[in-house]
Amino acid sequence: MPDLILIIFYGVLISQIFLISYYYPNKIYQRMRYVTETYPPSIYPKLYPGLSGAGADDVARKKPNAYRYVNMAILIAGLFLLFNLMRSGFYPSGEGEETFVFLFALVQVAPLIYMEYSEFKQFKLMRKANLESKRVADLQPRHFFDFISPRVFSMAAVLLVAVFAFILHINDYDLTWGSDALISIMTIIGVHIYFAILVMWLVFGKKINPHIANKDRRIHMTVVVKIMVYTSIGMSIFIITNDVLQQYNMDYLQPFLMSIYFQILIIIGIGTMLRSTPIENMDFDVYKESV
Amino acid sequence: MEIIIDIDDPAPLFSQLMVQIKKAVLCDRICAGDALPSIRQLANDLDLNNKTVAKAYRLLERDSVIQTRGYRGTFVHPNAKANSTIDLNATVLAKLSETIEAFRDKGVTDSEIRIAFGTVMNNR
Repeated sequence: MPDLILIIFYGVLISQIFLISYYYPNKIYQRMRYVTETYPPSIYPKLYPGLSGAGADDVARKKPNAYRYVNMAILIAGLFLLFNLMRSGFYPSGEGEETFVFLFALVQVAPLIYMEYSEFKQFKLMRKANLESKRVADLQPRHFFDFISPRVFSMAAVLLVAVFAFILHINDYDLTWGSDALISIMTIIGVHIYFAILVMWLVFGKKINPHIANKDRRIHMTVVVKIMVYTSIGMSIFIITNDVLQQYNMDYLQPFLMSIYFQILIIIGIGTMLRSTPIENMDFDVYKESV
Repeated sequence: MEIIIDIDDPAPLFSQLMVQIKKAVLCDRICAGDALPSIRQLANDLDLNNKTVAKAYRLLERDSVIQTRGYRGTFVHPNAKANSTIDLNATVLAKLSETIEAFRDKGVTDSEIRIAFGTVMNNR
């Protein structure tokens, strides 16, 4: 039995390292390469604000390399860590190894977070450089349930209530100031308020990308709303499972659960984004100078 | 169905919006009963002030091209197509010009017409 736990622990860690630092980064890199090669700044200048003149195409083509190199470095570091863990005869005993898994996962997703930040900066530049006098809008109203099925949303809501009930139950309904239950519930509420604000801002707020075609904008909204709702479901399941493991003194399985949780989050987030928005179907003509 | 406004166009933005929505009705791109975006959504999408879109919606409602059904939102009026062909502004101008000409023919001065017009409007 202990050997099985060890095999599961290392198997899940190897899966985490490859999935978050190799498989998805490689897919994203291929996507970026495709965009920079198929839609270069010389023909699609609106896509690359601040990048113009001779050599702009080459600069754009080289940009995705940094993302690839950082991920490769994290992959090598992960494999090195794993190798050292195996060599030292490390065995998960439920004494906080999940923190190690969590911290390493944070390092793994750091390039993704930086990429998102860069994307927002690029959209800001796009809005600044946008001198187009014509503005286009869709005459179709948008509602939250255009982007997610009410059934899936209800499931997320029910699970959220179940998590609150579960937390209260295992903490003997102690909601005094500073209690574990109160902190957990407030944290979960905070995360969901953040999700709600993000969705409201995206669906009902101003256009982040001033050139995006309405069809692509709707697809993007659908993807983000789905990711948020599925993440909420995943989070609820994770919290309940994690607390059950603690209740039954199976803490040694927590690093395994933490790793699986992160991998599922990445599959939900990045996987859904890559699957739902195939680059070939996007309208890039809006980034041409003449449009 | 998309609408396009041009901020460099000399026509006021609310007027461009009205014309675009009426055109959409006349071309059957939106039909009676179809829902329209909220004022905030349209204003955000077009990067306009909410008041500009609200003014266009108010005037379209006056012309019975759209109708607001409380919290349920704004919809295309059942008689929108017929009402979109009538340019109320042009009708009012034509009628007023006709009346003013008739007064002038009878010897009423322009200042007397202005005072009378103001009195009638204020007594409404």
